[in-house]
Amino acid sequence: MEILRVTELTKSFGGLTAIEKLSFGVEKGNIFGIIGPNGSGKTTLFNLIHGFYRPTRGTIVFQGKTIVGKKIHEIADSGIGRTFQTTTVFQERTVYENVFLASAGESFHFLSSIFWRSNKYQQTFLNSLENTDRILKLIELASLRDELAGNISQEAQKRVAIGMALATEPELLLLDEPTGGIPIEETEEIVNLIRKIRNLGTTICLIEHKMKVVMNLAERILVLNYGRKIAEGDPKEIRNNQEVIKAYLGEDYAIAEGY
Amino acid sequence: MRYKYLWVLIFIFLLFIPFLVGNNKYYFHIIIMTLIWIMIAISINIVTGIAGLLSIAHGGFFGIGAYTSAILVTQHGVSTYISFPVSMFITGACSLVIGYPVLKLKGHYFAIGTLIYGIIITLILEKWESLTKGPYGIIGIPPEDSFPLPFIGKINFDSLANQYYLILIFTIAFYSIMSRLLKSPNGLILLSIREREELTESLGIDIRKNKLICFIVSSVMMGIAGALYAHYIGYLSPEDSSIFMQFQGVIFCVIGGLGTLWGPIIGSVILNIIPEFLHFFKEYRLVFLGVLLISFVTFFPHGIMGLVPKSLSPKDILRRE
Repeated sequence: MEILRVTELTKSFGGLTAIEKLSFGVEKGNIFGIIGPNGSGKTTLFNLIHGFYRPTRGTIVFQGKTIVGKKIHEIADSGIGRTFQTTTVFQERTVYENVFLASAGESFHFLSSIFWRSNKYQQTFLNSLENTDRILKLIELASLRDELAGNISQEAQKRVAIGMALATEPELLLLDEPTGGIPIEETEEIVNLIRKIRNLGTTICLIEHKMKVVMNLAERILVLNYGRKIAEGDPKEIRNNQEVIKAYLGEDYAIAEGY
Repeated sequence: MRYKYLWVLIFIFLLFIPFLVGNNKYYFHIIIMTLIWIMIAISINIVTGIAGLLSIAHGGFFGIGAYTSAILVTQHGVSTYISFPVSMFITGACSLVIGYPVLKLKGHYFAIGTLIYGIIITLILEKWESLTKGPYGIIGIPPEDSFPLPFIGKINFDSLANQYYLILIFTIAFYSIMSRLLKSPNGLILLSIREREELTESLGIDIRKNKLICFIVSSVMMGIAGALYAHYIGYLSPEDSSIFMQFQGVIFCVIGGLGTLWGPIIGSVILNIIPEFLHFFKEYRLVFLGVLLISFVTFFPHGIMGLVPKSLSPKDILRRE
């Protein structure tokens, strides 16, 4: 069953076409990799799905409903979580608060949290605390919970960002370079975390530059170049696809990486 | 509650201030004005410090609250028990009408948008002479109507001591609103909006709605402060709601520590009371204040509260109630 279906998606910025007539579908429960050289439109695609940009043409259907034209928070509420390319956490807040904010969201009424904290309020509060503890355990950061998020390592911040996206209980998780900016030896933990999240039943869309990571993780891979799809298939097909090797990997790179 | 006893001491001290001051009207005036400035600074702290919205229209809301109550009481003979809620309602309605479109703007553009509305409000107060008496101002605003208490009898607010107690009660209420907001999940949302809007929105939070509610709540608080000021001071002129008084409130918050719980209070107390000891410097005391402000912005951007380590412990925000 397809959870996300993108049809003939086009996005132009003035004269520049960042995404052109792109169509693909993501199967529920899969890890779907998106690769492509710098500037090929990967992040733009995420921004289109998550409502930061409006598509020039085309449709995006999530769980049978079109999400084009919806606001960012509505799309997030409908079940799509995302992380950003540059690590984004609330640096001035603690790890715990970061995840708590994501899991509590807007479940509290503004005025009632100031003037009258009812039983229902307390119950929701406790539920959010429990959910936060659960997520912290999942991202294995319970020991750093009271540290300011700006003070922990890049790798840990990436995990906080994933944890926050996860705390909104998404059906589909968009991860923009989850191992970007992290030393190679530390990527293994992120890879394990992503696999763990998938095994819990969340579908994952993954932009990734590190070939080993994406070949290792993804069931299906979409290759973009200049905003167009040049290939789609399982890692084996992509690895052997001449066009991909030529356009994206480059022959030298392909040889060096051992593909 | 480590500071329980400190709280009790502060409270007793505040209760006994009128006995310490005695009949010195000048000291009374400074103290009451300090309380009113604390209320203004708290309102500004909620919108600018916590939610990060540099609103320059809030001086106008102070004026709307003050003028509404003053006009109702002096020209229509309405009781203050009615004029206060009406002025709260009108301030809230105005802030909704102004906030809804202006909150579409972000950052400096929001500040410019509110600046325009702030100036418009002052202009209306100045030019709509049939209603506001224009630049002559409204004079002879009576104090609040007396309040019946069991056993003690009626409490009249025409004495300075009773005015002090009344305004003190409102100041404490303002403080607890800000404190409860900061320690609630909604306060966390506002702090997050201040830090990273897009990330907050991507977590499924409607940032515009949250900003608007925060804007309205702080505007209504500003209106209450204005109404209390009007009935205390007894006269109003359009300058009372100028953008300059708004700037002064922002300065108090910045020096005390923008976005912190105690910042607006400490800032207002220090900057209202210190200048009174500097009278012998004559006009040079303004130079002193200028130097103080510049050195704070340069060297202590987090204000006095920034010098207190972990004063607002992050754990406090999620303290279980």
